[in-house]
Order: sequence, then C-alpha cells, then structure tokens
Amino acid sequence: MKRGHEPKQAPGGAGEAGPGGMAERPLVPACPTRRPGRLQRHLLSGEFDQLRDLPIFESNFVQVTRLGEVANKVTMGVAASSPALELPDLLLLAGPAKENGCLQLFGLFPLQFVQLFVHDESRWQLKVKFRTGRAFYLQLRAAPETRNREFGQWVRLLYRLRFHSAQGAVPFTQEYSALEDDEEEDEDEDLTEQEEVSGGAPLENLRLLPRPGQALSLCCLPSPTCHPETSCRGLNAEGPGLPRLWSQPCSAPASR
Amino acid sequence: MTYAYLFKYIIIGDTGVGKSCLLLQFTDKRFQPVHDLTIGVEFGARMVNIDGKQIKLQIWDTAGQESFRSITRSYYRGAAGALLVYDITRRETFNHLTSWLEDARQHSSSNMVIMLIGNKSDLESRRDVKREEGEAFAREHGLIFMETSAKTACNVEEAFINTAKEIYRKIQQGLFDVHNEVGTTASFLLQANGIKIGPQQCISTSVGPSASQRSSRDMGSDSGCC
Repeated sequence: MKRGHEPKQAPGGAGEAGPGGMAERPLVPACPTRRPGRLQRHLLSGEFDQLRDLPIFESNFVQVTRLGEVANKVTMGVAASSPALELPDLLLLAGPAKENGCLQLFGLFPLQFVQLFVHDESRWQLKVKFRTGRAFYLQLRAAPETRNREFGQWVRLLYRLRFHSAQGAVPFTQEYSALEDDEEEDEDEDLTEQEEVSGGAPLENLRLLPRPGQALSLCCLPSPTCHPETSCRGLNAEGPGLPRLWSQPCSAPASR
Repeated sequence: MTYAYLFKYIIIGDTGVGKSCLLLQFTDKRFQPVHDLTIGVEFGARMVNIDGKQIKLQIWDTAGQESFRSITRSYYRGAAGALLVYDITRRETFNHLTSWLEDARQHSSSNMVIMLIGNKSDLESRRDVKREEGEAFAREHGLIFMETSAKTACNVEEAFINTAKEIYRKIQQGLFDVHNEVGTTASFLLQANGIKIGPQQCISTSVGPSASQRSSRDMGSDSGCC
C-alpha cells in the first residue's frame, strides 16, 4: 500500500477519498484536514504503539442479525501493516467497552483469513466472515447525506481487495446460499453476497467476537433507520471514489 | 480509569492449549468450553493492583495454529510479559515449548518476563506431562511456572498477576534501563520493554528498589488449588 501523504498524516477515515493507491499517480487529498476516525484516534491515544501509525480506513457500524435487528455498535477498519503494501492486509474491529463505553480494540485479523461481502446494499450492510466460519453482519452508521457515498467506498474497497489482492490472498469472495452451510470456500466474482436472507440469530447469540466480556453494550443503539449519532460525525464520506489510501483509477466492478 | 503502568502481555503456545480460555477466565471470570479458533490477535484488558499501584494489563491473545504463526510473531515486539501455555494432557504441546520460547526470545525484549503455564490441570486423569517436567523446563530456561485450569479458574489470577509482579519488581529494581546517559526519556525506554507509564505518573517516584519487593520466583507456583 502506498501512502500519498506524510506518515503522521496517515490516519484515514471513511471520509478520505481520492485517487492514488496502487497506481503510480499523485494523490489528490480530498480532505487533508479531516480528523481521524474513532478507531484511529483510539490507536493514536498511546496504548497500542505498534498500531498507532497504521493508516486506517474505518467506519462505524451496528452489528445486526441477518434480518437487520440491531445488536451492537462496532467500528471496523482496514489497515496495512506496512506502508510498502499496495493494499490493506489487516482488519480491525473495535467497540465500546462494557465498563465505560470507551472504544476498545477487540481484534486484529489478517485479511487473508477474512471474507467481506455486501450483504444488503439497500440497508448499507456488509457481511464479515472469518475463515473459521464465524460470520456477522454490520450495518453502516453514518449521516444520511453521506451514507451512500461512504458505503460506496466500502464496496469499492471490497472490490479492490477482491480483484487486486496478492496471489493466494482472496479476502473478498462470493458466497452462494447453497454453500452457506457447508462452509465451502468457492469464490465468485460478484460483489454481493447472494445468500437468502432468512431467519436470524437471536441477539443474545450474536457476538462479534467469542469473548463474552467484550460483548458490546445493547443500550443507546440507534434503530436501523434512525439518524446517526453524534459519534458518527467524525467519519464522513468525502467525495465520491475510494478511500484515499487504497484508491486508484478503476472501472466499475467487473463481472467475470 | 487511570493507571500507573500499562503492561503488554502476549499469550502464546500451540493451538487448543487454552490460551483464549485463560484470557476469558481472567477478564470475565468465565469458562467457555467451546471456543472458535483464534485468528490473528484478540485483545483483552484488566486492571490489577500491585503494591498499591494500579496497573493495566493489555493482553494480546495470539493464534496458536502454525499457519498463523508468522503473522502473530510480529506482534511479540514490545511485550513486557508472555504467558507460554501448554496443555498438560497433550505431550506434543509441551514438546513444542522450545520452539515457542525461541520465537518469543527472538522477537521481543530480553527483559520480557515469561510465565510457563501448564493448563488444564483439572484433567488430572488425562495428564500426559508431569508437573515436575514443567518445573524443570521453567528452571532450565529461567521462566516462572504454574499449572492452571481455565475451567476451574485455578491459578489463573495468580498466573497473570504474578507475571505483573515480576515485571513490577524489575522496574523497582531498576532492571529496566530507565535512565541512560544520552537523555532518552525513561518512559520511552520503558515502552521499548512493553511498559507504559500511565497518565500523570512521575517516573522518579516509580523507579528504584523497593523494600516491599520480593522475587516472584517465590510467588506461588503453588497457590494450593491445583
């Protein structure tokens, strides 16, 4: 991944968009003064030395059931472990700590072991599925005026991960409903997950991560259709296109 | 919540030895018999009190499977403490300790405190590694040793806290090079060893021999419950 700005300016957010990334083209910062997202700020706060300089593309989400029932607040970001990488290779998940509601980093996962899908574009929902079979659904939490744009950035990023990731690492794959139960890892080329949306895990069984102590608070959750909370405001889509850090000129998602 | 120090821990060892269960028991006082395979790193945190000081333990629970090893070892850096875990019912997890130890020593500070843990001590009838073997390995390699059970919580608190005590003892004894002649700040040097000074803590009040110190080698490899 190439960063088109000084390392200390690396923090990204769903709002930072612009061309650049894989291609040898100068970056055009869409929003150079945008303040870092919540996750980036958390990492910059000093408790995670090794992660503090990672450029991160992040958004706030709520964890939902397959049917869209709201469970937990989640902040998800992708990052590159080295500035030399052309694409992000890490997925970071965070959420409010149960004791005080402060953002807490839950896990750091190599993207090569994670599959990301568009679950329901009309509801701005992604599906995150680990290679172990564990999966959960996230619905974007953003201001109505920027939500589509921000979700579009995620879709484009997923596309980039799917079609431009290194050989052997295929973090973004298609999943058909027929494969849902047997956890096969066949891959397809469409951007959307085409499983049938039915049923839905009970909320109490929904855990982003298996550690119950890190289960996120169920209080103060917005409804799936409500307006975003104040905390969302630091993360805004900024202009069309890809997140700045991993953007490059590209055509629309292809179907092979 | 404020704290005097933050210690970074890593938990390492073969897959299935109970690393995530130990963390869960320590942070949530719960045991979960069925656990998903850990991929990458999962985090936990808890405050403990050592000698009247609040210390935050930031725990990095790493994946034990071989396929993740090259990824997870990159996160050993900057750890103040390591819990090296094997399963007393699976000999092979004990046999792999040397390899884990080499990894840990190669990728982290020489000051890192390593606690060797023989987990699943509740499964005495299926024991495959004698306690004495664990003790001998620890003695040979300069580790602290405990047997624990994440299921019954036996010695889990002690394993985490005794590791913190040993780190704290090293700080108190000045074994971490917090003063140097070229003017590098003490906090920077501590950070290089996986230790952070909490907000508004003064290094001069925290470093130096303490009358209350004692060797953690004496601290309870037996707390009596296992």
